[in-house]
Amino acid sequence: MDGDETPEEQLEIGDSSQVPHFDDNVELKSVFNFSLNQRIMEGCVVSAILEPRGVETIVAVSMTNKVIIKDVESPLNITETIRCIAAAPIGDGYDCIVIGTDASVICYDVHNNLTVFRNDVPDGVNCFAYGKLGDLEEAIYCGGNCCIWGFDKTGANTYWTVTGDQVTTMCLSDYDGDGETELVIGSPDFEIRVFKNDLMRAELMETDEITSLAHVTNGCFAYSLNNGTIGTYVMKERQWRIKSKSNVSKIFNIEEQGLMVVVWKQGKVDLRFAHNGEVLSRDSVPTPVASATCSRNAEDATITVVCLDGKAKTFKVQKATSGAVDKTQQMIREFGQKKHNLMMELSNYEQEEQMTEAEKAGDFRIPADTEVGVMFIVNCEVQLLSLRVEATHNIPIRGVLIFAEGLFEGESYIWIPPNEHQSRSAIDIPLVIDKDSTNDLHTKVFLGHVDSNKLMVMENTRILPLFCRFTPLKAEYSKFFIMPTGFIKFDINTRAAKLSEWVSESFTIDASLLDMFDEPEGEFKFMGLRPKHEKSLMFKITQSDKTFTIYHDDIETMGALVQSYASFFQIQHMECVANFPDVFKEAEEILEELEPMTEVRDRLTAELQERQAAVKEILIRAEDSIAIDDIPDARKFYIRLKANDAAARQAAQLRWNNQERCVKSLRRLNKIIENCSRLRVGEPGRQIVVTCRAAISEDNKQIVTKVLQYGASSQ
Amino acid sequence: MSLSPLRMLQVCNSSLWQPELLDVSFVFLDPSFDSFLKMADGPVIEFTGFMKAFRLFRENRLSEAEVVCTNLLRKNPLDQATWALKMQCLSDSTFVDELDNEDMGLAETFLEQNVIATSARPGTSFQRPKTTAKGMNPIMRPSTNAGRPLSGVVRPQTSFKAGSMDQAVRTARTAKTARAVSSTSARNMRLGTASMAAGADGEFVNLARLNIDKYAADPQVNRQLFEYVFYYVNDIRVAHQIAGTASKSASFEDYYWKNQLAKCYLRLGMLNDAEKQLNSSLNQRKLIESFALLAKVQNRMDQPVAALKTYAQGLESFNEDVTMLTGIARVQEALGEYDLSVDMYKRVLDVQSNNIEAIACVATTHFYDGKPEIALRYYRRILQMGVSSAELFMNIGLCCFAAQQFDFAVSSILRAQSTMTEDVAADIWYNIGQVMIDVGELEYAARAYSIALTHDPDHSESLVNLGILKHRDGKIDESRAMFSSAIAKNPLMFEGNYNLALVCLAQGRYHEAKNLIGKALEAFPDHEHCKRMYENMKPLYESV
Repeated sequence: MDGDETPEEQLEIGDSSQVPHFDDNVELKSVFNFSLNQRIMEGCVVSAILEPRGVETIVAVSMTNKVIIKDVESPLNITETIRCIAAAPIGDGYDCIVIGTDASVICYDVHNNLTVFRNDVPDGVNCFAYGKLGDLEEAIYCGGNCCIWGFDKTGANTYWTVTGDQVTTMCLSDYDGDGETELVIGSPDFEIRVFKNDLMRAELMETDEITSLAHVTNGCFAYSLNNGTIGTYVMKERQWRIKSKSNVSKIFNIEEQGLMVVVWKQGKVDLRFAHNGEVLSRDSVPTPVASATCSRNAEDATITVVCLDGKAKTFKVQKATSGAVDKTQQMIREFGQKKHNLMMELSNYEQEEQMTEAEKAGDFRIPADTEVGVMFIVNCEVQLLSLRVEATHNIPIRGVLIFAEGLFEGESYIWIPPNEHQSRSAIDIPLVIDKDSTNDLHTKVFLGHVDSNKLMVMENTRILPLFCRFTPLKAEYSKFFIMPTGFIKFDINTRAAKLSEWVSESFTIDASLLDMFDEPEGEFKFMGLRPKHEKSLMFKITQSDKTFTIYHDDIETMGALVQSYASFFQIQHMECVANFPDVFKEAEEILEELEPMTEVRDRLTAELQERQAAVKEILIRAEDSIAIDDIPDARKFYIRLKANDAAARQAAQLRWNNQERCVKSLRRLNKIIENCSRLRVGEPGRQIVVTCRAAISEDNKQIVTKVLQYGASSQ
Repeated sequence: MSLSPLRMLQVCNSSLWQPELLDVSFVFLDPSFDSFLKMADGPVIEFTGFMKAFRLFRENRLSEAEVVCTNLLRKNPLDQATWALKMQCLSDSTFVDELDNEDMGLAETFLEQNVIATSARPGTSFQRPKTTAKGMNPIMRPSTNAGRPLSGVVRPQTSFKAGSMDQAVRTARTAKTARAVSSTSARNMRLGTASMAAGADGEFVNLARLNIDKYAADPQVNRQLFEYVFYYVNDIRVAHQIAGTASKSASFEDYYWKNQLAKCYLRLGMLNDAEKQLNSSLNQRKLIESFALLAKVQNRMDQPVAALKTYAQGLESFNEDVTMLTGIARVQEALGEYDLSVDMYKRVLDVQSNNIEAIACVATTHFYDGKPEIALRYYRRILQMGVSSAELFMNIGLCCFAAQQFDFAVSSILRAQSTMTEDVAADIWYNIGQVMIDVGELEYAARAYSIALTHDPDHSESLVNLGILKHRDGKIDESRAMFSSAIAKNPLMFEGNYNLALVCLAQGRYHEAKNLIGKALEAFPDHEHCKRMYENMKPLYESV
């Protein structure tokens, strides 16, 4: 099995000083196999108790868009396209199946054959989480495109908020260990966001798309990324992570024993310690995995892994029978490896001692006090930020290796001179940064003379500031400053005394320029660097009315600026006046067209239904004709069927196009609301979301842009 | 051999039902006007113009009212009041209560995919009633053509899906047993007759040229316009558009329009949308109609448990409401829970003691429960209420016969025979045949069955029983032919399959016999003899 051979790389590991001791003498044991006899859709497998006093059974979604229940003959038939499935214990002692489709959430009670509720979610549902969030009642949380919905067990909408991107995975976990659960969501924009009730609590930047999240213990949750990384966060900090070439399908935890089970898409199944990721036992299934589920019948947990071809294998966690022996073997091997490395190093030193001076000189040694400087420099002429690597004593640089997560394509950047005689002692590496995020740049610089066969490696770490895309405008380059039209204006908080501290942390700036930011009044201009070099930035502090104005055109960056500013000065609550004419105009346009669009959709749906009814009727009539051997008439009916079918298809296409546009607009509107909410800090930001939601559902659209502009308290 | 049992005739509920009675037009009620009429007891006041049309409409003389309206409109085509009144007249003349309008065509039954669970737990789906319930015994209680146990009244929705579409298409459909190809086509037929009656001027309102958005938003005429389009013109798409626009112009706060939208969605087969509208309407205002429609939608989705819940909610708001109680009783009956169903019908009778459906259903259940005397008293009660139809007399005759009151039985059956109409003749002759067999007159019985078959060549029960008589006379091939044609007419019939299986077995056609017993067991899973035969045949197969 090739999945088993995939090398793993331990990226970081937390200090394990106070880790409780867990029994490591456990293993995964394959219990039995069965088959669902259908191809299964990826990610759509749950286990649920479907009848009172029943046992947990497997519920999956087939590729043919049917819900399959294990050991039940006929599948459930859902007319819309299924995207995800979950089980929620809202029946009377049993679970109901919750089905997320591209247009609605359906909660279905299998035992009584009744739809508990069916709610429209216009842009579809991608994932579910069921449970108690903060001080809210238990509910089903549905992650959609840029928004999250919550429905209670009667189907009433109890929760709604917006987020920065599509929600691909969610879990309810106590993120900060305060005894209340938070909603942790993962998005394709590399971010894990944590919501406490409906207020965003934290944003955790990761290095790739988040593929799954799982609650582990109080204050701890596990995550996995598209690039094969898995890891855990404990009390807001990342505890460990491990990278592998394969992709994670699902993570479960077995809390009592401090274990977690990781199921990989390629078929690998690992049992690991939750506190350090150490693998205790592995097993595998022969074909690619669709998803897996964990059921807890009578004390011990069983894990059922369902493959894409419908085959399923069940594992149990039990006391190891041969685990101890394996462990010793592995340890011996590790020590053997270590010994070998040390011996190599020793022999190097011995060799050194035996060498003569002449030999040493021929080696092109570099002086012992050679240093390598790594700094950020800005080339104003081309508006480009670069990383300058410079070696003293004119030692040529033979190669630079920069490791920075998510900054470069493929994580690291390698610079090698095109031809070794062109190596210089100073080089500039351009940094074209798309995102506003702090990043650690780990550089390894290889030094050595051209003819030398040994290179010296110098390591260095630099922190890339959050807003390194901006640099203070110098007078001679004022042509690059384009006055932005968008701005926000807020009152200066007494805490924010020294602006220079924030500026020095968040921007690449010369220390000599810092002092000017502490002046009580003034305008501070920044120019943008590539790739968004046409977007300039300006701070304006007015002492007369004690306001701080930030001019910038990109609303997302503005949001990041505000959040960074607030968190630096620990401001919990900040309202502002925003002015982004383009964005507000767009929002208004969307609101304008939304209503006619839903109306048209209704009409188109009715038309489609009518056409479909005609098709069905003709089909029956044709069958009738065949049954009485009236072939000429049957032929006529089939010709008519063809025409009607074409008409029905056309109607369906029309409706689909309309729907697509409608969903797109909705997504954009959600995004705008989210962006505007991020221009405020704390409660005012939350209020904007709530007020906009209320205004839209109450058809009170005029106030939406006003709220976005002046905040929720403005009305 | 298994004889088909006595068949109680289903009392035709709809013959009692007059569409005019249901017409709700008290919107225009004007009490002062009535008192004015009473005071003037001198010469008859001659009304003219709009007032005349309005009075005629109030007196339910719809066609006369319409003529007056037409004349008025000819003089002044822009008179909106007259226009609306004429539309009201036209739609009232073709008004069908949407609650009772449940005929599902073949297309809807077999080609629609609104049902989530195709084989839900028995007792939670109409497709799989409880087979253990004692009512589901086809020997004790005969079944209808669609494979449902016989109920007390003729009512829509008793034809549920059974078997495959292929089978349904091949099953004989005559003008009498007709199941429309689709519900739209059935209504389109009605549409043709309705517009023909409208007169030579062509269509009254040209929908293609009407500014629908303008009139649909006008609260003065939009209801009349909607009903006209919905009931009379039957253009559901336009009706949906009117209701949508009207609902919007009432800022989504008028439960009436939500219900109308739901009706449109129901007709279009968009059950989920219908459910949504009804729920929203119920949130706004609880109405019996909304509850009943919602339950109907849920029944269409084959979720009887949900429908029962809805009815129960309806009962909470409207204590002991007949519509709700009847609904529960019907659903329970369809699920095979006869005891619960009869209990509900009894509750209906507590509230409304002249409810024909309830009386007939209770009577039927009692009859097949082996209590013909009690059933007789219920049927007499219907007779007392002034209903006298051939079906009723026949049922009374059968009850008397089963209760050994032969003198009454003969006179009632004679009465039924003399008043019968073509559509029930076959059933009546069939039952006469049954009575003849019971008194030992096999010759006459065979004759009665033959007469039944001349009235309705598709009467499968007569075919089966005639087949048994032929078999008795030693005419094996003839009886085989009878049984097979009975199966062809009604593939779900237990007796036909079982009897033919017996014949096949006697002739040594084991394979055919096995298949037939399989089908018979499908119709009646608990039949001991069938099971034993099946078990006996198994070793034969396994040894081959």
